[in-house]
Amino acid sequence: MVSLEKKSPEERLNICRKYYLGGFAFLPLLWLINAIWFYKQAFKVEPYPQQAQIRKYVIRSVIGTFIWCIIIITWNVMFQVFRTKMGPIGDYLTFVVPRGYY
Amino acid sequence: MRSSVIFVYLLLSILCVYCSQPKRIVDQMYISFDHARYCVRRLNGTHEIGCQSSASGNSGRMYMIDNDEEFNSYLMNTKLIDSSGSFIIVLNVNLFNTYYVDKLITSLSSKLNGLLLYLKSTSSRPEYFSHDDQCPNHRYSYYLNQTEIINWNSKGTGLFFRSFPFPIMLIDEEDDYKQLIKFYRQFNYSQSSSPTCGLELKSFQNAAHSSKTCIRRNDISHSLIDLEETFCDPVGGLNIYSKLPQSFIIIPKKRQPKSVILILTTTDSFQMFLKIKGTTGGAQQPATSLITFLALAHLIGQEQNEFKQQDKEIIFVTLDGDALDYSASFKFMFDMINGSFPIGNQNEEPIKVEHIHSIIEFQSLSLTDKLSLYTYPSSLINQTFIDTLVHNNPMIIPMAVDSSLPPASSQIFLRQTSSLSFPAYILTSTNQNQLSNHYYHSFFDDPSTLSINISSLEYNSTTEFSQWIKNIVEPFGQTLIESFVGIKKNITIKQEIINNLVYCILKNINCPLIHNVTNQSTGNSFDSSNETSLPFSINTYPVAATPTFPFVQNILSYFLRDRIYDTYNLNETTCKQYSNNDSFCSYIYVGGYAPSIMSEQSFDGYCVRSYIRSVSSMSPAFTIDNYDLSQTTYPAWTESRWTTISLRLFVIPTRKHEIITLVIGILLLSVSFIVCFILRYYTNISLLQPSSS
Repeated sequence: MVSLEKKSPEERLNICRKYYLGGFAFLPLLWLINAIWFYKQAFKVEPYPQQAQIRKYVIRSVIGTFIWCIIIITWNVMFQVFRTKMGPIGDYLTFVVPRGYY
Repeated sequence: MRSSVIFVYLLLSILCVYCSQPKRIVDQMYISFDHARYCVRRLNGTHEIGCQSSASGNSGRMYMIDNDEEFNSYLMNTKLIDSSGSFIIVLNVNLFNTYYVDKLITSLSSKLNGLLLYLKSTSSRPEYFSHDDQCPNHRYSYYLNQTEIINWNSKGTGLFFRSFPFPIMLIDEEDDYKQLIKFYRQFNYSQSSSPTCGLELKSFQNAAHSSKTCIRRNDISHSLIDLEETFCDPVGGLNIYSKLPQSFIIIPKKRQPKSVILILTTTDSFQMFLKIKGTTGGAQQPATSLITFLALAHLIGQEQNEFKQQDKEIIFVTLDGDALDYSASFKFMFDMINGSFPIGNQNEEPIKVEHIHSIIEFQSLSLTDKLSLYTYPSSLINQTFIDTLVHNNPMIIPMAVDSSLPPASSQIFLRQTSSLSFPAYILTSTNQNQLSNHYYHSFFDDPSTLSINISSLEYNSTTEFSQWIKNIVEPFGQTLIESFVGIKKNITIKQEIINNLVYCILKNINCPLIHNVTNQSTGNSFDSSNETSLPFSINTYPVAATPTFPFVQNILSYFLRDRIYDTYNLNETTCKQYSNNDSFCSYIYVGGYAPSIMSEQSFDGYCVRSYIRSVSSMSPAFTIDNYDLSQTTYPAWTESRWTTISLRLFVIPTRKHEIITLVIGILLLSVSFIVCFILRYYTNISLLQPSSS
C-alpha cells in the first residue's frame, strides 16, 4: 500500500499529476481516485509548496469526473429508453441480447 | 476405549443407512406433472403469438373453475381475488374460449399469472375444440382474393393467434387430473387462513417481438463470446415429389405446354398445445388426405403401363408448412417461377407455369358420406373431367362454379398465376360451407374421430375408414385413366395396402410396411419411433429428426416405382452398380412389400428404381437476399426455441406459518453466531495461525 505520508512532497505532486494526466485517456475512474485520495493532501494538511498545484489537480479531477458522470448517465438512460425504438442499431449495440423479451 | 470407538462407528453407519432418504427435499415439496401439454411462442414478420412465462416460472395460488356458475362466483368474490397477489386459474377445457379468457384477463389483469386447462377424461372431450381462426389461413392477403369470405371453421376461437403474457398449459391425462383434484380438495377449503395449493408453470420462450427481430438477433455474435445463441427457427420442412417411371428420362425434346398434372396434399398441421412424445392430432387433416394420396399413388403406379400410352406427366407432391400462411406453396411456386422445379439435373428442362395442365388437391377430408369438389376458375376447368369424376363416384358433389374455395394450397397456386394458367380441383369434406372437422388444427383430431378404435387396431384390420378410402381412391384412379388415357377400366387396390397405410400412419410408424420398402439402415431409423403415430406438427428448419419425411419419401417412391424391376432377381451389388451409373433415378435394395408386387415369382430382395426429390419448404422470405421480413409478400413464420417446460404443484403456507418459519430462521442464525463466538472465546485453538513447533 502506498502511504502518502512517507513520500516527499515532490513525489506526491508527481503521483497526483500522473493520475490527472492519465484521466484524459478516457479514464474517469483515475480522476475519481485522484480526487478522493488527494483530497486530504489538498485541503486538510498544513500547507506546503506543492499543495497549490495538487489542489488545482484535485479540483480539475472532480470537474472531469462530474462531466463523465453526466455523459455516462445520459447515455445509459437514452440506451435503456430507446433501445427498442432504434431498430436494428439497438440490437447491434446490445452486448447481451435479451432472451424472451424485446 | 477401542470398543467404544467401534460402537460409535457402528451406530453412525446404521444411522446413515436408515436415516438417509433417497428423496431430496425438493421432491417432497413439489408434485411434478410431466405429461402436461404446453403452449409455445411463434412469430411472423410483424407479430408474436402464443404464450410466454418468466425465466423462473410463473407461480400463483391455484383456483379451479369447473363451470359457468363457478366462474361468475369467482369473479364476484373480490375478497378472494384480493387475498393473493397472483393466481393460476385451473379451467375446464370446455370453458376455453374467447369469452371466458377475455373476462379473466380484464378482471384479473396482472394477477392472472397463468392458465391451466384440464380434461376430466377422454370421454368428456368438448364437442368442438379448434383454436384456429374462423376463416383459416386468411390473415394477411396471402389467400386467393375471392368474392365472399366464408367462415369454414365457425367454431374456431382464434386463440392460437393471440399473444398471451402468461403461460397456458393443458392436462389431458386422467391420472394427472385425479391427482390435481385430490390436492385441491385437500387444501383449498376456506378462503384465507388455511394453506392453499399453488402451481408453478415454466415455459420460457427465447424469441420475442417478431421474426424480423428474432432472425436478426440470431445472427448477432460478439466475437468475445463465441457462442451464437439461436432464438428462433424458420418454419419449414420438405416438399417431396415423385412421378411415374415413363418420365424417368430427361426429356430430349421440348416440354409440351399443359403436359404436367400435379396431385397435392399436405403433411403438416399445428396444435396450440404440444407435448413431448404425445399425440399431435392431425387425423382428419392431413392424415386422411395423405392416406388417400398415397393410396392413389399406389393405384396409379399399379396401372403405370396404361399411363405409358399417353404423354402427360403426373407428379405427386406433398407440401409441408401450409398450415401457417401457405409457406410451402409459396416456396413451390417460387421455385417453379424461377425455373428450379424439378431439381436434380441441369440438363432437364424446368417445368414452368405454362407446362401445368391442372392441379388436383386432397384437403381436409373426414369420414363423411359426401365429398365436395371445388373447382376454379370456371374458364379453365374441364367439365368432362368433373362429370366423369361424379359419375364414377356418386359421393362427390361438385360445388357451384366460382364458389369461394376452402383453405387449400391450391389457393396459392392460383394466386401466383393470377388464375389464368391452369384450373384447380379440390376434393374436401365440407357441408354447407363448414369443414366437417370439429377439431381442426387441434390435438383432439385423433383417430377416434374417424370411428377407429386405435387400441384394437392391427396391422391388417379392415375398418370402416379404410373401406371408405378404397371407395374414394378406386373411382378417382378410374377417372384419371378415363380422362387421360381414354379407356374405361375397372381398377382395384388391395384392401390390405390401405389397412397397412392406416395402421402405419395412425398407430405405429415402425410397421412392417416401412421396413419392407426401405433398406436396412433407413429402416432402423424408424425403430426409435416405435409405437408412435406419424407426427403432424409444425416443422422447423434445420429439419429435426422427424420420421415424417423419410416415411413419405420411401413409401411414395416405392409406390411409384418401375414395376418391371419386380420381375428381375437382382442382388445388392448389381443394384448399387445401376445406382452409380444413373444419377437421375434412385436405386435401393429392399426386402419388398408383398401386397404391392404383382408378379408370381417372389425373391429375397428387390432393386427398386424410383424417382424422388425433396426440397426445403421454407418460405422464400428466408432465402431471398436482403428481404425485409416485415413485408407481406411472403409469409415469414418462425418458432421460438425453449429449454425446460415444467408444471409443479406446491403448498402455499399460511401467513402465520411463514412468519414462524422466518422467526425460527433468524433465531437459529443468531444462536449459531453466539455459539461460535463463545467457542472462540473459550478455546485456545486457532485454526488460522500456524502451529508453533
